[in-house]
Amino acid sequence: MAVVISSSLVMSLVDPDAPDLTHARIGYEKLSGTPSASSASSGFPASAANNALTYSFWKPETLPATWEIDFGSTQSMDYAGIAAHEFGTKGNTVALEVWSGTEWVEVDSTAPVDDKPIMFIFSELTISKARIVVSGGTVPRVGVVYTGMALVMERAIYGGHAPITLSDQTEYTTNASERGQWLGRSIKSNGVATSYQWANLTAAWYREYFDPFVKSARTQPFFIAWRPETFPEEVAYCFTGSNISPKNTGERDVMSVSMNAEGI
Amino acid sequence: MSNTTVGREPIQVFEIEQPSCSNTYGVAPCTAAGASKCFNTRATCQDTQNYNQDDTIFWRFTHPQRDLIDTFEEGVSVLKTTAIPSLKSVSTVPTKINAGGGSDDLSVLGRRASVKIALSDHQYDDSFSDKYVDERPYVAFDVGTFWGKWLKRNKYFTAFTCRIYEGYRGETLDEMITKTYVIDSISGASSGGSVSITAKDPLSLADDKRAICPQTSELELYQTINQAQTTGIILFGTESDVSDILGSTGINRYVRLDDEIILYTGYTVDADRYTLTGVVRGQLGTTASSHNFDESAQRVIRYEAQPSWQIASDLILNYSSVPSSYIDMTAWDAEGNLWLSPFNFTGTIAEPTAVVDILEELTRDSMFYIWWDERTQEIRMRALSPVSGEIEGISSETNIIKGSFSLSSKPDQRLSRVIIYYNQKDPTAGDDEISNYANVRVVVDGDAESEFLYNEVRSSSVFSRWLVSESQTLQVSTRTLAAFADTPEYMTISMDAKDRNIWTADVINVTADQIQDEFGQVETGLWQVIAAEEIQYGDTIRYDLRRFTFQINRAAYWTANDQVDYIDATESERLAGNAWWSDEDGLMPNGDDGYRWT
Repeated sequence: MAVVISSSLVMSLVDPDAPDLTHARIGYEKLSGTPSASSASSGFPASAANNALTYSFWKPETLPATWEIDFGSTQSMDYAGIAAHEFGTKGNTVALEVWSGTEWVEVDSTAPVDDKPIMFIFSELTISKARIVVSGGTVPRVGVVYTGMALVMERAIYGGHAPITLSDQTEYTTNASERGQWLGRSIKSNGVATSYQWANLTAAWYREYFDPFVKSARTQPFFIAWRPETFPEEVAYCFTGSNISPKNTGERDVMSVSMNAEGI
Repeated sequence: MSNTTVGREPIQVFEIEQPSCSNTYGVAPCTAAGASKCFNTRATCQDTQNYNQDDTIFWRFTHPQRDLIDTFEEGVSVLKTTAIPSLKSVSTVPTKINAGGGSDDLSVLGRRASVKIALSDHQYDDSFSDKYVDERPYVAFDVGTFWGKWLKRNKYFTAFTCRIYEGYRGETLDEMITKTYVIDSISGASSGGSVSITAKDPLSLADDKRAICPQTSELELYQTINQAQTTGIILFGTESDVSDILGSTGINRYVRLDDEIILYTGYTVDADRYTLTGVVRGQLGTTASSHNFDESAQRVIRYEAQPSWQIASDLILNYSSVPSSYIDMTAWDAEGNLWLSPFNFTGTIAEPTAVVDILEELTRDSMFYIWWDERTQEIRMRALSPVSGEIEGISSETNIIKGSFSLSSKPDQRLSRVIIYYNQKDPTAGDDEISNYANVRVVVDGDAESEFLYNEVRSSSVFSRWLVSESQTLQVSTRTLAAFADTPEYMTISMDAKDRNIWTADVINVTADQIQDEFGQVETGLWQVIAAEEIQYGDTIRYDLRRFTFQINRAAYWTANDQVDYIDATESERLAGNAWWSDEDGLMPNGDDGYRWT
């Protein structure tokens, strides 16, 4: 049964053998495929949602509408991420569906209350096509859709972490007059930013699972839910601004790693 | 959110207006049938005969930030894109006016505004740039970069219109301050992934390289003529060079052969040969002479008794590519009729001359200035005249940002005498030869030159093809001396965006702690904004000001016969430019200062 935990994180049919949902999920894999849509407005083709750009959108002409990606062959998938959307503002319901071979099957659906990034997390499926179905409200725009296998972190993040969704990066400028009167203040919102740290990662796990993410993060943004069970609202779509390098720690064969991330 | 909102969030958007063909590839009238489709631009067109520019894409860019503003708009033949967050910086060199031509380091036309925009290059999925993006055999996002592709598809970008929008989150672009420019060059992308765009104000379209008046004629004398001949004068070349009505003389057209100007009123055509009719030889101060076949002929422009500002607008609109929408002729006429009525000019331009040079002569000789107002998107004109009505005031207390004030003076710009050579004899002779002018007027400020004041002579000589009467030269010389008798003073300050309504050419009252009278009291004075620049968009504006020296006490002009007596007039009527005679002591019946005749 599908369980909607929040409007930002939608969890369903999660593999009981998977690590605790207190462990971060990183959605960096983006399965390649051919996008199509039930309709698309001029300047807002279906292909625009099939890349990392948050300012380039697919926009249907009417609702309900579907945006579909055909992988061409069966693929494993246990997450979908959607960013740069307007589902909250436009009052939409969005459902994730997968192709069973004979029909479309709904994985889950949600009616977001805002336009923050969304992650669907579910048990691994083997499918050849996936789609999102948008209904209700008025026509929204959708900038980014990722599908694939999420990286499930081996360890949880512990104390000291500043959740990225609570870490606005704002600059302030204040003007005062020659005689000291307060004249005005401007602010500039530069998005959100934080750092993530994990310790006691086994060396083999790091090399097998985390290092491919490091290579992807050099060029591509990613979704991250840092503690899905406890803070399901805190999903971010972000990118790194510097290299990610692990450190061996102690005598045991374990590593620690940290990374800075900026996002929306 | 606005400029006075506490915690305002400034927004800056850069826009390029890109022409685009409205046709669909291979669909009538488009006959293209290539292996790959075009991008609806001229540079990629495969059927140029049917190419049109009926559609427009407005590319919009903004700074990377959270919650991108939504700039998408779609209308008939118009597509305005979502804002691409690749804008790195916008740096401007603002318009700087040179009222009265006092600043020697600027032309009389002042400094043209320019802007340099830096953008990041990046991957792009061609959402807006490719009508056929979903039909291509490749994924656009994975191929090339935005600017790499755009520059190839739009290689004829010179003179594309671009705009800077500056406002605040929550405002629509229409509500923001809009500054309009014309693209001059695009550099890059650099190895650092940056593209640099340089754009200038549209008045730059009247710059010498682009605008010439009169255009060089493609005409030659077909056969030799003697000095008395008025028939059989045949020109060979382009018919429009013979037929065009130039200046204000209607069918009385002028053509120059060597140092002679010939009047003609019509012509007959034989193939590409044109026989002039209604010919009168040796016109406009020149002497008839014989001319050999093959001698080049040049059309001559002449204005007769035309208001100076209307000659200026004619030159800008008809001899440069400045669109007519950039001049509000109603406003120009209102200003001109109010302050420049003595300046009806007669003058001849006998050889191809840069429009900007003629504009400099006109503004200098009739005491007005023009500038590009990037906010109203107009070329504006204003006479050197007093200001009236309510004047905005600023002070060290409530407006001038701490540490931004500086004051300077330029003694080199002071004048004590003006020498004007006028009534040009021969428009084909040298413009700066004293012997080519019938009259000269010298006005001297003897007091200023005396040992008790500045004790030196500082003179300005003007050779004018336009001034024809003593009264005109008296007006010009007197006003010039009045404006520049004292050493010009300049001020630089910065103000918060809450005061951003103050802009170039505005005259304001300034009360600054550093400007005092002889008793040490802070003195309020009139200053004119000669340049304004948003050094931090939406937050801080830097102003260059010049002490306003064109003000006179109670300026006024002739009023209607049924005007009420001074004592019965309202205060606003007294200040609105109406005048009454004062008593023999120069005072009004209630003791007010009298009006001054200018």
